[in-house]
Amino acid sequence: MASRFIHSDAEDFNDFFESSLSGFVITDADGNIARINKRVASWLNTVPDKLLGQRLSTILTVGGKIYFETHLWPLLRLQGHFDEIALELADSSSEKMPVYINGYERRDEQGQVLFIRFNIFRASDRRLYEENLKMAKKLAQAELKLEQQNALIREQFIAVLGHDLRNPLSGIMNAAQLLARKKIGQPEERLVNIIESGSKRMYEMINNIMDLARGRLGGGFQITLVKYDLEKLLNQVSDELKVTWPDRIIASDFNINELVECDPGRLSQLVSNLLGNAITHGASDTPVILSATTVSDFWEISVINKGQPISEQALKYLFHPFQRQNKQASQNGLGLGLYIASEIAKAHKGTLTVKSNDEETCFTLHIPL
Amino acid sequence: MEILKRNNVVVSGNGDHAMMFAHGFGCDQNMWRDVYPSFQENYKIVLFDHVGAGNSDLSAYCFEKYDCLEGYAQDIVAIAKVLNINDGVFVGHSVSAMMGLIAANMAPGIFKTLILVAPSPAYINQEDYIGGFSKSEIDELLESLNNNHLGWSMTMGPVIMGNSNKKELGEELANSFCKTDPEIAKHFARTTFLTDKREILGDTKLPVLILQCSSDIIAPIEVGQYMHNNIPDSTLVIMSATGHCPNLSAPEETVLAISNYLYGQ
Repeated sequence: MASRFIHSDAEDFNDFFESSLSGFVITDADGNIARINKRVASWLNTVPDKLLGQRLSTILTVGGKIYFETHLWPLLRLQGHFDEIALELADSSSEKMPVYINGYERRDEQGQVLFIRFNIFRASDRRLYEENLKMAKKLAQAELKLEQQNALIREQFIAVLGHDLRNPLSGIMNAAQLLARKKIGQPEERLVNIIESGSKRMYEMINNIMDLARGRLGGGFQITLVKYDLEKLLNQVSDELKVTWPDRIIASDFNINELVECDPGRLSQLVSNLLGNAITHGASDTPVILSATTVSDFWEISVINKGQPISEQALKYLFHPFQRQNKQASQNGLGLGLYIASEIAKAHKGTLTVKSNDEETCFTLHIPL
Repeated sequence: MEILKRNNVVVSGNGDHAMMFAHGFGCDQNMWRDVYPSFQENYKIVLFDHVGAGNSDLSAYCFEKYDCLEGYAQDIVAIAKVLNINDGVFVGHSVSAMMGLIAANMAPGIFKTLILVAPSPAYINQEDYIGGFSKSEIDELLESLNNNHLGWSMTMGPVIMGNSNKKELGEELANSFCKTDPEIAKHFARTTFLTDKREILGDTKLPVLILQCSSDIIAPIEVGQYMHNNIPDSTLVIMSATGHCPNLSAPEETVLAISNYLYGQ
């Protein structure tokens, strides 16, 4: 069917060669132009005849010429081709036109180069696109730098603020303790209790903010590892929480056979946080289970509670800072606890993970050895 | 040895004396592959990549050191010393030809003959001197390299894709010869094309063979003539090979010219 449109193969090839939107050049073995199509000539504001016999590099910008002679010519000889090379054509008005060039040699059976073919593709739009990308990258880098500076200042601000708030607060706490020891009436005792518990919560929040700032200011959590009796540590934390929640049960399930390497203060903080969460968010009529295992290549601590599962949405960002497990914030502090706990896990080169379904919610600290 | 690894030094061949081949700007030791085998019988062949080129240790590239040809010449001397080269033949292409002259002056005794293939002491035209390029043309080259307008279009590709699965594909497509790191290529181009070492030509004590190509835009015939006029004990051979890389375009003619000079001496 198609043959109706083709007068002869040769004519068809000529038409393809000359009318193509791409440039075609054939050179002899030395790189002198033997045939060049009208497309390339038109890009150079000339006609093909004027280019015949010239070295291919003459149609390139001076940079292109040097690049061609020092790099592309060797490549042609060494590997027989080059591929997708960006160059620029220079016409008589010294306008530069970005192009891509492919080149390949044809050799005879003895390995002598017969001729070299070059395909040239106009790349003006592509160049513009690349320039835009480069510009966008530059802008993004500049914005990122500014953001990083802002973030640093913000976090330094938090750290300083946290530190400065702690001093007057310590004064309030001391004063409240002294007041509590005096003989005071019942109404006053209630007020002193409010001051004490309020300032204690505030103190914890400030500590958490300072931990956040410390974790985010590049240094991460600094921990000091010592060999420690894990069972003793867990019992201590568990007892502390039982004092705060006397009507809740914390069931222990320990399988601890050896000392573990940990930062006891930080690990207590982590466990206390997980137990506190389990008590606050778990069903109040079921016990919280604290289990721990040491085996040859890892040790693990899990805290399990029954009750409403954590929503999938909340699970996603659970370990990010300022996440609260329910919207009524009053009992939840700042939402830094789990973030800090996971940072403590990381500092121990371990992981803190969570599984939550209708049956139970289980946080697990896993420390490989 | 650290240096041998750093410069990807490859030694082969027999012979009491060494023949050291130095590649020029834009390529690596592969460009000698059709030339050195002809000398393996009589010489210990030493091939290497300049730091920053081919399979050299890119991490050893020091922008201060390689800001001038002396930095590269130091490496040539260091390689020669590690390999105990005395009275060797140095074959340098393009900008490496001048490195050879500098190295020979730095450490007399390592070489006794210098063969300069398409050499140039200065690429920029100045007063009466014809180097082949105007200053503005060289500035244009450096500017194009700076903007990544020459070479592989995807120099910024891998950073954007950030897809390690594609790496294999990238490697397959990339040209395996004459690999260049864009940053280093830029700097090497600057060092090469802004160089002007005309004043050292007269200090050359060794016999020098200059192989000058026909119609070489990088080192035109006037440059070869200039070198011949200014190097005391020099022989100029004008080859019928065209372009800037006769070692690749016309290896037979190159081998013949070198052999005639070495064995005819």
